[in-house]
This record gives sequence, C-alpha cells and structure tokens, in this order.
Amino acid sequence: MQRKLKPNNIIYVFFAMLFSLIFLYPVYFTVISSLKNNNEIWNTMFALPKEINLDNYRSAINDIGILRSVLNSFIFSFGATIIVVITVTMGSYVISRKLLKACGFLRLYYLLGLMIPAYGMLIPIVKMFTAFGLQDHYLPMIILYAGINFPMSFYLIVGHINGLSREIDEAAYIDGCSTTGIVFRVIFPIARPGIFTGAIITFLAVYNELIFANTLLQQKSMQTISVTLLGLKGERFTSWGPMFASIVLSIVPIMVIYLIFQERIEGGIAAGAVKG
Amino acid sequence: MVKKRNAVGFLMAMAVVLSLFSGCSGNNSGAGGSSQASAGGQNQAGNEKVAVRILTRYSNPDNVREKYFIDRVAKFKSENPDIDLQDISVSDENSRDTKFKTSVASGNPIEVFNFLGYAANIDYVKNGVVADLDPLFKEDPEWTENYKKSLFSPVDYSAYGIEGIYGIPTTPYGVCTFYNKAIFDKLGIQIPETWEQIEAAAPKLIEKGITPMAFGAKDNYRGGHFLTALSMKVYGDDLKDKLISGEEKWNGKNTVSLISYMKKLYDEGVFGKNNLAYTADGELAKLESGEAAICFSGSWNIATINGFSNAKDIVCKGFPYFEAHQENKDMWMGGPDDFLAISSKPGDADYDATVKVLKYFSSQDYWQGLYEVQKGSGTYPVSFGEVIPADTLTNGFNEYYNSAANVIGEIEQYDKMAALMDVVRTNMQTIFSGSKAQEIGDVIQGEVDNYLAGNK
Amino acid sequence: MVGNKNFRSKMESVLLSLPAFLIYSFIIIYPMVSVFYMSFFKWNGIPSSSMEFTGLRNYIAFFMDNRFYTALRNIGIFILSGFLLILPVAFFLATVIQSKLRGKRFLRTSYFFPQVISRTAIALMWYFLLYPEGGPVASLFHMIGLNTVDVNFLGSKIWAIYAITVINAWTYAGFNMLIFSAGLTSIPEEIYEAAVVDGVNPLQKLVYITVPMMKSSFQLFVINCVIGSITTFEMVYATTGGGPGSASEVFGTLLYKNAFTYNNYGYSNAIGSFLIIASFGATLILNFIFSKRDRD
Repeated sequence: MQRKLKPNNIIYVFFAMLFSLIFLYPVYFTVISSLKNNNEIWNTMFALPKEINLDNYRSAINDIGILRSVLNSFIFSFGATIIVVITVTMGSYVISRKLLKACGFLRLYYLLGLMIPAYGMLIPIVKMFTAFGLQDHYLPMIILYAGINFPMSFYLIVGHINGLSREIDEAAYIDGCSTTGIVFRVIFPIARPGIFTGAIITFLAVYNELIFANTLLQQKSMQTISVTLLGLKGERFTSWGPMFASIVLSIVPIMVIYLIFQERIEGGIAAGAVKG
Repeated sequence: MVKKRNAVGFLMAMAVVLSLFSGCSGNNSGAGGSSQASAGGQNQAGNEKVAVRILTRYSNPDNVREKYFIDRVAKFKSENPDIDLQDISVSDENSRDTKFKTSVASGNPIEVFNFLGYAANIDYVKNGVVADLDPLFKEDPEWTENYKKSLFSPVDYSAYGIEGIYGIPTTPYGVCTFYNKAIFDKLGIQIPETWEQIEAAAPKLIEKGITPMAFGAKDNYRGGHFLTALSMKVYGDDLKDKLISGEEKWNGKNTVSLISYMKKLYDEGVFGKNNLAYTADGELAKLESGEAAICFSGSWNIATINGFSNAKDIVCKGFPYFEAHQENKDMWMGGPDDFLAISSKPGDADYDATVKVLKYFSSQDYWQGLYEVQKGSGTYPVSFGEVIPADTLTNGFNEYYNSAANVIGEIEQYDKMAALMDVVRTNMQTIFSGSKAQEIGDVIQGEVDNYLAGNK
Repeated sequence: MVGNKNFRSKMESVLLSLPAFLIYSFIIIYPMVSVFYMSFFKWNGIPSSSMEFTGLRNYIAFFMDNRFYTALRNIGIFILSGFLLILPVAFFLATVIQSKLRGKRFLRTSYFFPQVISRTAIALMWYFLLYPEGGPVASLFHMIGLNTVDVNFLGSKIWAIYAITVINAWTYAGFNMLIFSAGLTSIPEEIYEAAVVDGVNPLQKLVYITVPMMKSSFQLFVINCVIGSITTFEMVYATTGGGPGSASEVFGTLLYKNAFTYNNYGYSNAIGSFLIIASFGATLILNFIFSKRDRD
C-alpha cells in the first residue's frame, strides 16, 4: 500500500534496527557477563565468554537465594491478582448494574484512587502494618498490593462490564440465578478480556514493586526480586558475576510469561494506559 | 453450584482477613510494646517457641567476621530449640535503618539490634526503646569483666541526666591507612606518613598511572570519616566540641578550610578520578591490584586485607598527619560505634529469651571464637587471657593505635540532630562532583539552622 | 414473597461490594486521611514519644527547603525529557510497528520488553553500562572521540538526573509506543489515500493528518508523562537514591529519606500530602484543559 519501502526509507529501517539494538543490548550484555568470571567481566568486557561458566548461577541460587525471591514475587503477584480480579469484578458488577443506592457514590469513591500515588501514603501504611505485626506475612502483603492496584483494575473492569449487554444477565436472573451466580457464572466468562487486562496490569505492577516490599519485608526468606537485587547494590560490588546471573534469573520467568501472552499483555497495557 | 459455594467460601475468608484489619482504626494510637508483649505471652502459653529477632550488619558470608556471626546464629538455633531466633541482619546501612525504624514506629521494636549510641541516638534511649543493661551487668559481673570499660562511654547518657548503660560494645575500630609498599619501593619513595609527603609523592604516582589514594565516595560514609579524621589531625577534638556546642559553624572558617583542603587534594589528583563510581570495597580492590597506592580505611578491613594475594606488600599506619600540626599526630578517629542492645524489658514475655540471645552474642566465648577464627587479627572489645601472635597488619595498627592520645567518633554522632550524619556525609560526597568547600559548609549549616529553628 | 427476594438480592449486592469496599478503604482511603492528619504533627517515629501538633510548620519548612526546589526542578526535567525524548522515540517506534516492515514482530518485542523488567534490575544493569572506567557507554564515548566528556554520569551533580531520565526513557518508550500505536490504528487508511492523491508530502501528512487525528493519544501521553514524573520514585531510588548530595532528589526520595533516615515522620507526611495533592491537581487541571479544548 502507500507505506511501502522506498529507497530513502533505508534510514528509517536503520533507525528501527538501531532502537532495537539499544533496547536489547543491555540485556544481551547482562547475559554474556553472567557467564564470565570477575576478571573477564572487567578485562574483556565486550567479548563473548571464553567458556560457559555457570559458577555465577550457582552462587546466585545458593548464596543470594534468587530463586526464593522469584518464587516470592510470583506468590505476591498471583495472590494480589486473584484478589483484585474477584473483588473488583464483584464490586464492578453491582456498580455497573446500579443494584444499590450507593452505586453512584462508590464509583466516584473508587475512581478517586486513580489520582492518588500510593507512595504518598507510605508512612501510614507502614505504621498500620507494623502496629499489627503484619510485615513478613504473605496474606497482608497480598492484600496491600491488591488495594494499591485496585483503582486501576476497577476502572478497566467496570468500563468493560458497562459495555456488556444486560440482556444476558437479565435472562439469567429470570432463570432464577442469584446475583452472586450471575457474577461468577455469567459475568466472569463474558467479561474475560476486561478482567484479563486488569489482571495483567496488577501482576506486572506487583512483580516489579520495590518500595513497599523494601520497607515491609524484613526476613530474607520473604524478600522479592526487587528487594534482593537492591541488596546487591551498594556495599559489596566486588562480585559482579552472581549479580548478573541473579538479574538473568529474575528476568527469565517474566519474559516467558510475556512471550506466551504477548499480544494480550500489550493489548492490556495499552488499554490500561487510558488511565487519567 | 460448586462455583457458587466457592464464592461464598471466598467471601467468608475475606471477611476473616478483613476483620484483622478492621481492628486497626480504633486501636492505632499509642498501642505500645505492652500489648504486643502480652500477645507474645499468649503464644508462649501455647507451648510455642519464643520469637527473638536480631538485627546486625553482618550478612555477607564472604567476610570473615560476618561469616562467623552467621555460623554462630546457626549454632544458637541448634542449641536452643525453644527460641525461634530470626536473623534479619543486612549489611546495607540504609536497609538496616529502615528495618530498625519501621519496627520502632510499630511499637514492637526488634528485640536485639545493633545500636549506634552517642547523642545522635538519644531519642531512642529517652523514649524507652532501648533497655538499660546496667542491672543485667550487675547481676552477672563475669559477663562483662573482660570488656574495656572506656568502650561503654557512648552508651552512657548520664551527662544528659539519664542513668544506665544502654548497650554492649562490639568490635571497636580505628581509622587508619593502608599502603601498598611494593609500589613505593619500586619508585624509591619512602612511605608517606604526612599529608605534606603525600602531596609531594602524588605527582610521581600519577605519572605512572597510579591513583595515590583510593577514595570510594559512592559510599557516603567515606567523606564523613575523612572529615573527622582530618579534623583530629589539625584541631584535635577542639573543632568537634565547638561544632557541637554551636561555637563554630559548619560554614565557619575552620571547617571550610578542612573541606577546602580535601577539595585541593581531589583537584591535585590525589584521590584519582570517578570517585562516585566505586565504593569502599572498590578502594580495597584498587589497593590489591596496585591501581592505588594508599587507602585510608579502618581496622575493620584488616582481616579482608590479610586475604589479599599480595597481603605481605600491605603496610598499616595511622591516618596521615600534618608536619605543621605535629602536636595532633596521635589524635584519632575511632572507638566503638556499634553496640548490641535490646528493646525488651523485664516482665516482657520474650525478655528471658532476648537476654539469652544478647549474652550469647556478646560473651567472652563469642569473642574468643572470633579471635581464633581471625587468627588474632583485628580489634576486639574484650581482652584475652592467652594472646595469639597477630599478623603484621594488626601489629602495625596496634602500634599506632595504642599510642593514641585521644579518640573520637564521627563528629555528627555527638550532635542530637539525628539527620546531621546523613546531611554531612551526602554533602561531603559532592566534593567529587564539583562543589566548592564554602557551598558544602553553607548547605550543612543551613540544615542545622533549620533543625534548630524547628526544635526551639 | 417478592419483598423477601428483593431484600435477599440487596443483601447479596452488599456482600458482593463489601470486599472491594473494605480493601480499598483500608489500603487507600484510610492511609490517605492519615497522611493529611499526621502531616500537622511533629513525630520522631517512636510511639511512646508524643506527637506534637505543629500546624502548618511541616509544610512551611518543606516549601522553604532547598531540596524542595531541587526536586521541583528535577521533576521539570523529567517532564521535559518525556516530551523531548520519550515522545519522539515512542512515536517513531509506533510507526515502525504499524509499518509493513518485515520482522516487525521481533522489533515490537524488543521495544516493549524493558517494561516487564524489575526497576531494580534495570538500575543495576545501567549502573554497569554507565560505569565510567571502561563501561560500555564510556567506551562508546571514547570510540566516537568524546574523550573529554566527563562520563561519570550517575556520579555527577549535573548529569545524574539526565542519566536517570535516559534510563527512564529506555524503560518507558515501549509503553508509550503502544499508546501511539493504538492511535495510529484508529486513523482510517482512506484519509491517507486521499492525501496521496492530493500530492501531500510525508511531512505534511504527519503534521496535518496524523498528529491531529491522534489527539487523544497525545493527551493520554501528556497526562501519563506529567503524573508519572511528579510521582516518580522507584527509578531514582534504585539508581542514585537522590544523590550525589541531593542533586537528583525527587519528592518520593525526599519522603523516604525524611522518614527512615531523618526520623521526621510528620515532615515526611507533609511531603506525602503534597504529592497526593499535586498528582490529584495535575490530573484535574490537565483533564480540564483537554476537555475544554475538545469543546472549542
């Protein structure tokens, strides 16, 4: 069509490739460095490793315990995602179908959260958590993350449910289905795309969250990827290899998920960007 | 139908979880340690383990001293199945602060922790976060009989009208200097012990591509240590006293002249380049590789340096002094700045267990073990019956340190303004990114003035 | 009978709304109210020491603090970098993934994936990439003959904040690419075809057709960029922590530092309140401007 490649478009293609290189190079660099020993990292920085050396990975797994952190990140992400999806969908359905008098208020009340940066509330949240010894427990942390990601998911999911035809759930109601039944048996399946968007945004946000995890998770066995990697920054930068290996090990799982669900994740994030 | 039951089950679960939270709005203010403790007591009645958390900065298994601590934690756990000892130590200073402070803010402070003492931390003593150990010391005199008594002064707040002793010293330190003697021998230069000599030797080293003195300013404490150590060699502890009393300002002539001197050294290339890109560990790496000839550091690194491939080339001396200020040659920065303290009080359910942990990690046996592991090198808060012949670095250090006429901690530690240390350190850092000495002094004094205005 | 069923279904609706309401109220609203309340007190973080009511003193001190203005300037730089760096790059990338280029699926993946990496991992990777002694970027600078440039970017009072904005752009370009890409898809092909018939050159096409047709994408970008910049925290915290000195401080790092390093919890909450109000205000103002524009 009209956007065909012309000779002067070589520059265009060049830049398209250049940017690809700029985005990929740091990760390529991390991967090759993770296979080198300290000496090679500094002295033959740009060369491929002479031999595949997995010592760094051993150290990342045994000394740094990165796999445990990856597991924790997954636990928090899955937990928060499930809670967000279920609570938001239930709440959104009630609001969307105006089943209660307070629905108009609730809608605004929830949307207010879109404009509030969670970090602004760091101190009271820390205070609330510590006052009840909730730090270093999975469930409270998961609920915290669910709360932080609630407004965004609500915005996406309520919008999606609003767009669904009421005929289906009215038919189910006439068939004798309770409201709860409608939510779980009718709305969940047909609102899947909207719910997935909310889920994926929550999942990614929690997986990579740093500040709350860093203040509320104290035990090493509870720490997430971000916190563990942050611990590597700072005072003992003498052994770079295990650090690079840890980064690679933390990226691989999320990369796999991303590649499997690529289109839905990108679609979801683009839809989520409509925030504001 | 199955799905529906799941949903109802989930709702119930949510209700239980949320009822946990709903307790917090009414119960938030001032619920101090006592309610926490009684909760702990109930647990104990159920024959559960008593949980005791310990927070230190020892978490790096590559470091001899930290590895020893980690091993002792494991040993304690196996010997005391009734105590659930949770080691939440972290070597990064900021992370340690965050952990400690969030626990304090919660009203449930960490049971055993490294306390930093001095006036800067008086708030924790005044408000009962840190327990008085004096009754325990009196009860069990053997425990501390080999401790060097002078080391307790930073946790003695009687000058502020607070009786008691609020910590037990861990490893004391002295800020000293390590030299790569091989480099100086090769160039035929005497090891420079004064700043005048260092400035004279610097061009020759720089010409050979060697950094005269490594300075890993990415760790902001480096600048703080340097300033205090330098002030001792010029003014003795006079400047410290005057800064704390307010008689001298941080942007006053004397302080600024110290900062200017530091900047002058930097401008002359004594500290090399890119100082904000590497840390204290980087300094040691440069000393080992021969990229740098001198490294001002501290006695805590002796064990690490003994592990160098070229350990025999390294020589330890005091922090460089000034020929112009011979009288202050033996003025040191050092002392104890790390104490083990507890937050539990008699009557708390976890008190006995906490004291047991505290004693375990400050016993003569603990230090004896470390003494043997480190083969007599380094410094200790206690004296030993049988002296292990130490390595040359330790001997070199002790030779200088034992002749110290006066030893002080970092100047900011003596100030009640808790933020001062971070303010001074982060601003000293900016020497390496082009700040002028007067600017740095002005910014620090500005912060001090703000603090004073807010605390009238 | 009917009334009973009605009551039952009302109760069901209440129960369905309850978990959402409670989670949101306890995690977002209660702390928000608490932030405002505590911002009027002076408190050192020790429960047994009293909270002293100081009125607006925390706010006044904050607005008089030099670091407030440093943070303000840095956030301005963040916003500017959004317009000067992220916008053109993201727009260009969007045209690439909307083009007929072969291998664009690979390109699309490579552009987007920094988005899924932890910010801490990104900070560590870039710390090494920007390492002044022999690091890749420094080597690149030497290769193209810029030997004289001070390449210690993250350790420089002047350059640190710019280095962070570049890392930030590297991270978020792919995200914004998707926004523009969605906008590009919404432009009907026929308009371009008509333009080609009228002999419009590519630049005119961009200025007179593409950009106006994508107004909502640009509005979205502006809102995201401004709010994202005001509330930026993790990226700075993980790279420089606000240093050297306080050169790269933003509101988030100031909040964190004042609480956990300086024990000024009240002051820290005043920063939190300011952050909430600023983010709230900016959203409302931008939405107001855009909706007014749309009506005009």
